[in-house]
Amino acid sequence: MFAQRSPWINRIALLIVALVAGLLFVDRLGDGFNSDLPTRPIANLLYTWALLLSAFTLILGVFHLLWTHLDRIQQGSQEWPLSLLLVVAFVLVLVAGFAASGGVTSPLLEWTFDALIAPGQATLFALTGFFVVAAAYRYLRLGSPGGLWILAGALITLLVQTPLSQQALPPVATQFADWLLLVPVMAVMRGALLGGALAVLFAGVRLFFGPKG
Amino acid sequence: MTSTSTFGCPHCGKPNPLAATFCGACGAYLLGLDAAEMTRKSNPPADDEPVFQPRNDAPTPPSDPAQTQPWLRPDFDQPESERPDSERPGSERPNPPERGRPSPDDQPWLRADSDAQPTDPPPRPAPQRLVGGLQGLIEPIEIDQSLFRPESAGPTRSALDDLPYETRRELRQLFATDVPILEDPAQENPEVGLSAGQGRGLWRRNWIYGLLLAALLLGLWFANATPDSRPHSWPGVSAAYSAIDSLSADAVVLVNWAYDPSNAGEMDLAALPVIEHLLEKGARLLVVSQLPGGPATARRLIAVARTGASQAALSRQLGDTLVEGGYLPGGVASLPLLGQAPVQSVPVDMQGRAVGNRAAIRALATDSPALLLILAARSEEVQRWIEQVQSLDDAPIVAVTSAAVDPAIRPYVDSGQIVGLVSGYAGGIEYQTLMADVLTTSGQESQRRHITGQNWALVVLLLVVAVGSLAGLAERREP
Amino acid sequence: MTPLDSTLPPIWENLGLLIGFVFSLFILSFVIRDSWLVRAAQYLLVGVTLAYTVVLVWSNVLWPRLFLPLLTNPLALFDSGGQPTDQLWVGWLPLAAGLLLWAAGIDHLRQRFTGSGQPWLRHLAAFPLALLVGVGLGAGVAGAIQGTLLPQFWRAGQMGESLAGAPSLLLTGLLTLLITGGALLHLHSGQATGDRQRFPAPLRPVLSGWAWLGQRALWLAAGVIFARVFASRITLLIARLDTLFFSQQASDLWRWLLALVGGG
Repeated sequence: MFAQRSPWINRIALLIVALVAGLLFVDRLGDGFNSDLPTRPIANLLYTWALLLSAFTLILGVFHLLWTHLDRIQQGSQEWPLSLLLVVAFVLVLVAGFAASGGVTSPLLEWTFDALIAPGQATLFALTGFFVVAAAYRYLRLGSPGGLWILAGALITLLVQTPLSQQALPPVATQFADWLLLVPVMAVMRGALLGGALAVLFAGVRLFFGPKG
Repeated sequence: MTSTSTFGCPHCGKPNPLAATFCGACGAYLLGLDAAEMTRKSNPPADDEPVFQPRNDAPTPPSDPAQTQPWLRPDFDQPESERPDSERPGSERPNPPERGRPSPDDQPWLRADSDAQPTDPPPRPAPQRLVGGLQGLIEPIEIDQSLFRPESAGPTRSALDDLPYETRRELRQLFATDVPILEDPAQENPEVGLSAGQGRGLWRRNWIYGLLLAALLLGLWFANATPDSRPHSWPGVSAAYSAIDSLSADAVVLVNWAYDPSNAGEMDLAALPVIEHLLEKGARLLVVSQLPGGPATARRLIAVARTGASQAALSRQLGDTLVEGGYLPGGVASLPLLGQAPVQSVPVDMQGRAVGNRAAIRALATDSPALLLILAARSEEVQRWIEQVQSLDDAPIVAVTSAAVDPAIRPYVDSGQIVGLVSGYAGGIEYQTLMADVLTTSGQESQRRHITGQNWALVVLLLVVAVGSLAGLAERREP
Repeated sequence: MTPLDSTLPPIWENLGLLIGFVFSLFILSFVIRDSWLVRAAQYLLVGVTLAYTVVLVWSNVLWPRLFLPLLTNPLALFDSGGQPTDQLWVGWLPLAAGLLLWAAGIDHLRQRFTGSGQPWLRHLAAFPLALLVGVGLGAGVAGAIQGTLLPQFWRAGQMGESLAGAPSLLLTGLLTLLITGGALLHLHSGQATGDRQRFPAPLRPVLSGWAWLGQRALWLAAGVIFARVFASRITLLIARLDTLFFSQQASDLWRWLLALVGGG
């Protein structure tokens, strides 16, 4: 987006990033020692700005997408009638939303939510049920790498979590599944969480000290 | 960044970094695009592509970053046998390796044998992603990438890397929260070069879809689960119940409504008894959401919960007990405000009315909330609130989540950061039992249908896995 | 259809139910094949959702928090003591930054399609964007340290409790620590734990063994996660089928359809 940006603009932008991030960092970590830090009002102001600017960028993003579809219609590219449908639906709902007082709590927008958004999103995500079973066909196999372990973890959990099979299992199986979730799986997920958090930390440090730092 | 580090989005044509998951312009899902297609669509950088201006005194980067960063090569994931001769280790290269460049000795993943998957099919185009939020559409993300893209970050080796390319791609899809739906049927089955509907034998997915649909419809129709049949209750539900039950009347509960209609089918079952319990306790709820569909979903479930809550709770005016804080954009960047200055972060409700004089807000001006309730369909939402809100206000957290989220947030339960966890429909049923809540007839029928459906789905899954294993064995024996 | 009170005529309720039903069937037809019906429904859904989001952002965020206060009292920039007011800090400044973002974004689009643009606009817009990135980075890193790194490291290293408890607790604590470390090691280094250049000889078998354990635990966890994902996704599917074909039987729409089919 910001092409032809001169190096000094880049430097100032990075300086702003570093200053803002540094200030928030000090505010957050200093809170444990002094809850009445002078940085607090500035931090709150920055968070408020971020909230408002995010709203601006969100609308900009929607506008961007809409523009892309308008371009597709204009170019007559593949599936342009569907892009037209998208744009028409967008305009209708937008007009309905702004014409009625109350925004999304107006009766017409509530109706739109109940008649289109909620059933549409729910059905779309319900399809993932099919994908999961189709994926199981190919990946829950003994022959694949780690297949035995994956299959063992999946089977014990599946059998315990489903009422039909759970009734037939001895109590020790249920206890074992609980233990599996609470000890080894929890430990693995902790390792993954720590790895992720360390990655965020190193990315931040890298920014502060430059890409080579 | 040079020209080879970008490729055109198949959806809108906008140049994107090779590592991009979503198109920066239209949000299309880009992971796993066909390597050939990426190469074909590779185009020189638009003059407006965000770039780091290299320092004048910096060494000139090699003309082809794929030489120093082999993971940028479109065919990095492809079997060696399918790569061009010039790129295979051992073959002559136009430019011999120089000092400082990664070699197979110090980066074992570059070795020919480490990535060889002779049975791997060529990658196929990923489905386009149109629904699932607005990630990737927003310009700052593009800027963010341009500002922080590491110059030569090495590839990290993960457990997933041991799996074949196709497996990794589908596992990513499987565990992603977005719906991969706009698939190209012609590319559905690269193994046989035919679409899913026209594939050969068991590679056709239609039999799996049809079997599951038929089993579920029949199961729901007959609903033969016995009335006392109940799913296993995973640990954490009783702790959640105790935490809410110990709340005093008028305690302020900050609620993060982190699910929308896409996951409401599961989440409503888990959240309904918890919200009912809170209303019965007379807690004051301040509900906010960072999903556009969240506030409307919350309004509907709370309305249902009010009809199910006891008359004692209904005798209170809802206006006193509920503040609809609405939508809070900004993600991580705006969330800390809720942790350290909630009054400032929610000045108005969904109707645009000032909420400064509401009891919950007045209480939050001086004290932390008595409880944070997170209703989330994704583990990231729970983690974000723990990191950005709880770390600032130190309030205990009760999480109500999708079953899929449960394992990922167990470490937080173990460390005591989450005091109670209700996950999935099973958690909801267990919570209802603890509340000694008597279901209506239709509620009982619906619950029976759910349990029967789960039973039948397990049978289908076991059958599919058994057939899949046999098919795998048969494939191995083929010459 | 909705548990909320609505002022719309009752016919809208049935109409909404019918539209939602047909719309859902269009999407569900993906199970048979990916047809134009599925695509049309998806494009329609995207269009409606985007417009809904814009209305929400405007009516719930930008209008009440920014534009309304500014329009109510636009010139209250300084108080009687000459100090800047909130009107300036959380009103005009973010408004200017936001409008700058919009202008730069539109200019970017214009440039994409017409080839001409205003570089200075995009130069200026780099500053509010840098601010957004800085806030996200500062909050993200501080939150990761405060909310995940410190508590989880602390908890992982808390063997004291286990030592004082029963032997089984000690065993569990030790296993947890081993698996956490092994998973972290495998995710970070993987097969490189056997690398001669990176690790000295006495360490290599230990690290390789530890990473081996971590990898097995990761596989086991993947199986458990798969099972939980299965439960979750099947619940979504059951709930949708239940709503479409069973729960809505009590609605006027279904009564009407049944009467139509039955000739009653």
